[in-house]
Amino acid sequence: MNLAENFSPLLINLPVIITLIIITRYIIGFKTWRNYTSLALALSFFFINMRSDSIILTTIVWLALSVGIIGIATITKYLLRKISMNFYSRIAMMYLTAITFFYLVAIVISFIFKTNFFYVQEVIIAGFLIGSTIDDLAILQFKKSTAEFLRRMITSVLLGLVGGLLLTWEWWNAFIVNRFEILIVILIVNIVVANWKNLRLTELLRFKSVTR
Amino acid sequence: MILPSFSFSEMNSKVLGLNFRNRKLLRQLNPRKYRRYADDKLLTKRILSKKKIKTPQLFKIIRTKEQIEYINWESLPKSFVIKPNRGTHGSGIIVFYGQRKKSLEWIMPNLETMDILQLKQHLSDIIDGKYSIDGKPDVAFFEERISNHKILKPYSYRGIPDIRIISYNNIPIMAELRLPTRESKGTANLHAGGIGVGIDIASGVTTTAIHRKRFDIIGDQYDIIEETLDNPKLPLRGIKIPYWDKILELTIKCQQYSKLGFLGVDIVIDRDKGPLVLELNARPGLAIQLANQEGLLARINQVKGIKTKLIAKAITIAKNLFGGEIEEQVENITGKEIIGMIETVLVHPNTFIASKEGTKKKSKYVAETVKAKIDTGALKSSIDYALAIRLGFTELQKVQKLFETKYDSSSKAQEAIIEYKQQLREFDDIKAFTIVRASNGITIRPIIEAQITLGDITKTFVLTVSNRSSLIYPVILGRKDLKEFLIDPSRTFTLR
Repeated sequence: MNLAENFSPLLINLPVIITLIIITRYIIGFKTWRNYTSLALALSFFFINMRSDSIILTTIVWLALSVGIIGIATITKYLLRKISMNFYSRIAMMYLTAITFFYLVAIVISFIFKTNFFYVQEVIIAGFLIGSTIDDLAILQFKKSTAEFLRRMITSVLLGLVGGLLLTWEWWNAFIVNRFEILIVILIVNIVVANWKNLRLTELLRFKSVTR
Repeated sequence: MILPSFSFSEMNSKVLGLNFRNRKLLRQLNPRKYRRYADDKLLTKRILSKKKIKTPQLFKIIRTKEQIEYINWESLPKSFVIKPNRGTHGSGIIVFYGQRKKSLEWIMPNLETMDILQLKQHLSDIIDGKYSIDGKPDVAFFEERISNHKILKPYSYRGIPDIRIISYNNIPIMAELRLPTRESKGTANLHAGGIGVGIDIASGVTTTAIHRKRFDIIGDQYDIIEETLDNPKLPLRGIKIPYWDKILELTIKCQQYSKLGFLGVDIVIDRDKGPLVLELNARPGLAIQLANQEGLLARINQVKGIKTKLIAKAITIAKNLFGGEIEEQVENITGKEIIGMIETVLVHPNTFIASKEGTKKKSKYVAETVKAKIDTGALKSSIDYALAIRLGFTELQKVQKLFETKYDSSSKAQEAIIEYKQQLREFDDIKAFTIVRASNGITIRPIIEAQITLGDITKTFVLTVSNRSSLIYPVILGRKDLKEFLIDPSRTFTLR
């Protein structure tokens, strides 16, 4: 029995995606909402793809769900801003409306296209994973400016998409399960990034007037 | 796509980025045990008040939700501020400017009001940790509202401007005035739309001003602006910050007491109480570099090895090293360089000797770097006899007895000088003789011409020669030779 072939590439991809996130943060300068958000979004992409016929359909469904769930949660937070309630109750409301949106979308699409796509376990898990980012989203919205929130949301969704594509890329997955050396490469990249003290690319653009 | 033209290595050596700040400065200079002195606002107040440093007066502390129910709202003053103890980026802070007549409602900068129910909700959110730096449950407190100082009041829209000073190695290295605007809803936060204005450390006068651009994916970008955004439009350049030396002194004291090696100190100026420390910041933001159009890293490297415990000395160092923005502007307008009362100059050797020896033969005389006193009370410049000899003006030895002779009266000096003037054609280096009346008597001095480099300017100075061996400065530069310069009497060694 070839142990390597039976080992899920999903797990090995975890440090790969995290490394992408930290390169984006420390070398390029785009921040995400913590690591968990992009990981959860990438994993949700993976689960949707398990029940999808094509990567294009997966991307469309995933984007619609991610933007929809996060968008509804954000709108809920905005609508509730004048209503007096406890902080965590407010977050609970954001969860409630976002998941209600998911549920309604599932019913409508299932009815129109006569499909049970939204009822299968994998897609439900994907919705759960996207929904689980609401907590971090809420905290970020309360603490940072709208501009910073938007910036981090865009980066997180993009990195979630890149991570999701990586998780579903057959050639890549076949490559990493047979080459555990990739983890050494990842380790080296991490050491380099960990010691990177230079300016981030976005800072080069931001501070260019200082050296004029 | 046109790539911006700048050198990566030049930027890396000048500009402080988040990676360097977090890895090298915060980790090494701001250990966790000291960081809490800044993160915990109540602890900051306690420590600073023990050291007799003034902070805004504390009214009430609310630690639990139960305590909210027992607040005596009628006992609150008409204006106050509510803050989370461990808040970040100014989130959760609400300033109340006044109270509605005959009701328990308080007015915010945007002229909206909050009633007791809304205030209770806000306090409850703070205690739940909605605004705390790590998301953990927090403490809320009521604090006095600062009254705006008359100089800064016209520049701020319904809020209190604050002054952020970055201090490293107990030396203030960069400063910024932050002004609230209508867009920022009365807060001085740059991310929220406030204005950041660089401050010249030496003079406490404002320089460049910045304001956040619209949304940009790469991070907050800033435009350079010249006037306030809200009416009346006022120029932002040239505001003299009141109590400037006191502010620098407070900054150094805060760094010494907090033991944070890299610190941002936020100071507000109260109309009646003067400068008060608003809070300490263990992770100061980096946009201050844009407001000053200068890199923090270059300044950090300048003060890295300096050791001083004396506050006055640290202020002098900061002023000497980091003043200059205003001077540059003055220099650009007048075309004249600004110098202090004492400067280091390079005195070149006797050019006549050097040319006689020819270019192939190396002259034995070399230029000397010496301290020169800038003396606007003296008309002519002067050089020490021994220094002149070392520079190759050896002819002076032939008239050496001049330096030992003092005359009782002008007539005797006049008689003596005639004799010397007759010998002039024998000399190459000595151009003339002059009678000088000083407090210690009347003397005759020979006059030579020597090249002196002062800053970027090298020119021929006409110098009287005297024996200055018992004096500190071997060279005096008089006003006749200083027409290309402006003199700042408060400074020394400005030319680098």
